[in-house]
Amino acid sequence: MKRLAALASVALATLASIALATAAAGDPQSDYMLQCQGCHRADGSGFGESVPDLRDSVGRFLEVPGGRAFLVQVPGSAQSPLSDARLAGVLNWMIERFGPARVAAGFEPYDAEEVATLRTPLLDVAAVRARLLAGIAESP
Amino acid sequence: MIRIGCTLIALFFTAGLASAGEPDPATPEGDPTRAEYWRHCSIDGFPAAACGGTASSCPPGTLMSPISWIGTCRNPVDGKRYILSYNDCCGKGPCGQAFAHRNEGDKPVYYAQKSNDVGWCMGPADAVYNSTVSIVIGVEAEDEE
Amino acid sequence: MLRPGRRCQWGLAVIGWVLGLPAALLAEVPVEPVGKSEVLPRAFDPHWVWASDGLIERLNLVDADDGRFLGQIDSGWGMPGILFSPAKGELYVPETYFSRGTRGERSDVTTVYDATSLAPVAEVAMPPKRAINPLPTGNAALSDDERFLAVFNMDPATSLSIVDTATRSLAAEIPTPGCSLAYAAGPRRFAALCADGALLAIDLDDAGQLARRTRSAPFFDPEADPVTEKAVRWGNRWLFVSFEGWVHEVDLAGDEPRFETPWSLLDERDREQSWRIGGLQHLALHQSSGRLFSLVHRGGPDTHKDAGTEIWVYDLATRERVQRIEAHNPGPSVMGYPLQFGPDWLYRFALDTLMPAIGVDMIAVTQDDAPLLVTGAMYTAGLCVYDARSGELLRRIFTGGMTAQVLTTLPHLPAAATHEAPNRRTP
Repeated sequence: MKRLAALASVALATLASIALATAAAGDPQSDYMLQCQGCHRADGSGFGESVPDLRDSVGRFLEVPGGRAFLVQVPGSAQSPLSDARLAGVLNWMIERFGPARVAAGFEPYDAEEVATLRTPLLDVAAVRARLLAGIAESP
Repeated sequence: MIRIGCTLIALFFTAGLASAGEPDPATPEGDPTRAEYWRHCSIDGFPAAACGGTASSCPPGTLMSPISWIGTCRNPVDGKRYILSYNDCCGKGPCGQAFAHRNEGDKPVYYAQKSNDVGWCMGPADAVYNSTVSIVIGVEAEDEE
Repeated sequence: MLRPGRRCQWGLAVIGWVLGLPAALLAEVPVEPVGKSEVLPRAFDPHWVWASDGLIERLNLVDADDGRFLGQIDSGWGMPGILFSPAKGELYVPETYFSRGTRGERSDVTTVYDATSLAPVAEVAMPPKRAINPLPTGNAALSDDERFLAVFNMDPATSLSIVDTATRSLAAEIPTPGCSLAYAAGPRRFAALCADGALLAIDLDDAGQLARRTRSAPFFDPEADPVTEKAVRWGNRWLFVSFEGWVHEVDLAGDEPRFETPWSLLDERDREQSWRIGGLQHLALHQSSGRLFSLVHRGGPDTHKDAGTEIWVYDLATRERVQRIEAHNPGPSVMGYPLQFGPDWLYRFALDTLMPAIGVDMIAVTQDDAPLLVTGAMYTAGLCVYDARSGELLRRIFTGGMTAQVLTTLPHLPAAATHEAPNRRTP
């Protein structure tokens, strides 16, 4: 009975948690959890000034020149231990999950080949991000 | 000889040795107030459960850090590896109990998302470190690498 | 107790008077001035050890030659670290304070201490985001000309606060995206380690502003076999050692970092016997002889922070192991009080023979020509002091704190100072 109770409570706790996933190998949500969620948070809301809020915003980078590359080149992406294919999977998952919805509805997904060509860690993250955000603000 | 004995006991008591997470036959899941509890497989600090909290909640009056690192530990009862969020509890001094010095999957500080040495008490929880929780946020499938 | 003493004093006075000697000369202690604080006999000494005590947030200064407690510096929240400027006779301690002790408004400063008086003389305010972690190296570094101090920040974005010790002001905050820590590599250069295994070289100009940042290609695999942060320096090279005992030497003197082919601290037999590097502070290096000291234990994977039972010594010129030193148990202490029991032979017998080797967590070596190897463990304020050349255990001393986590010795000898006395008690 004790063992059953223990198992049941673990199961219940798992069900009750917000970002439940039974994560298969290479599953993008699992990869996001283990590589990104610690700072970017389960809902993508980020943290303070140094971890940006991805909600309704990460997809917008695809709409400005240089934005596709930027998402691959921020250190959290470029330096992660994920393979090019798995990084592409996580980026696509994040765009679908965090939106904005109109971008999530139809965008050119990343693949391993594109990620491989872009994947150089960016040093001047702040300056490039500011420039892209300015471009995003100006676009319709 | 009594003094030597006391010395030895004190030494082993304060040495903070942690075994590898053996299940306690009495409670198969184990005791979260002890460093050997399965979820604490990569805590380098004090488990919140020994400090007035639980395995997944912070001690009274402390604030949970919004950010953390995320790791995995194997549950000896069902054999699955669970995904765990190791948030710090902040705002009161170091708890000092059940010191866990375990490093399964731990990586150095420059690889922050896998490091148990980073102090995560930042932002609204920017304060002194008290203890660490091990919150279940998911389960890894059994064919994970 | 007073009355027999008084009786004795009067008795002496009578005898003295009888013998014709003035009684005052025999028994009175001279009057002393009130208000004096001691100063250290000199600003720096190669055999002095700063022991960081994270529990009581303080650095304890002890003389490793005789165990004498010389003084302390209290340091606020976070693992205490200390840097030396022999040219200016100063010490630098990056510190974090909260307005209500464990909480409240945070302020980070680097406090400048006079090295002889141990009194704070200035502080430089820094962005309140200093990284808090228990590392012995990497959280702060001082440029080779002792001008610029780099303090590692994490919020969780990473950057370096550059403190100008000449003007005692904050010169700059330099972002180091995806890269962490600071290792001094010249008068204007610091190196950081990146999460993908690359090295970031940060070059400053003479105002402490960023002049150049260059990333190398990854030189190690952070997933398969990461290097620990606890690197040691040998001239212009930094030695990073991986979890599996591979030494990655990086030469930072030139325009581009040069990476040597990694070599192993462990041979086939060592690996078969599961010897691994481990400890809070597992490396030490004696500069002039080119000897590397590595703390090791027998254990499985992920034991890179486990206590060590032996210290293996390597000749860096030949990369051969030349010595194995058994890590003796330091003297135990409870709440900071040394537990010294029985006669000396029994104390040593209990610690060396009766008790199993509990293991030590830290090693450090002095840089003079009669070097000492000092070891400590987190659970006690006791330290072991060895002759670093022969491996002989010389003495057990205590830090004066409650625990010990990081041991810091003078990294370079000041030009004039040499420690000529052999390893014996200083007068």
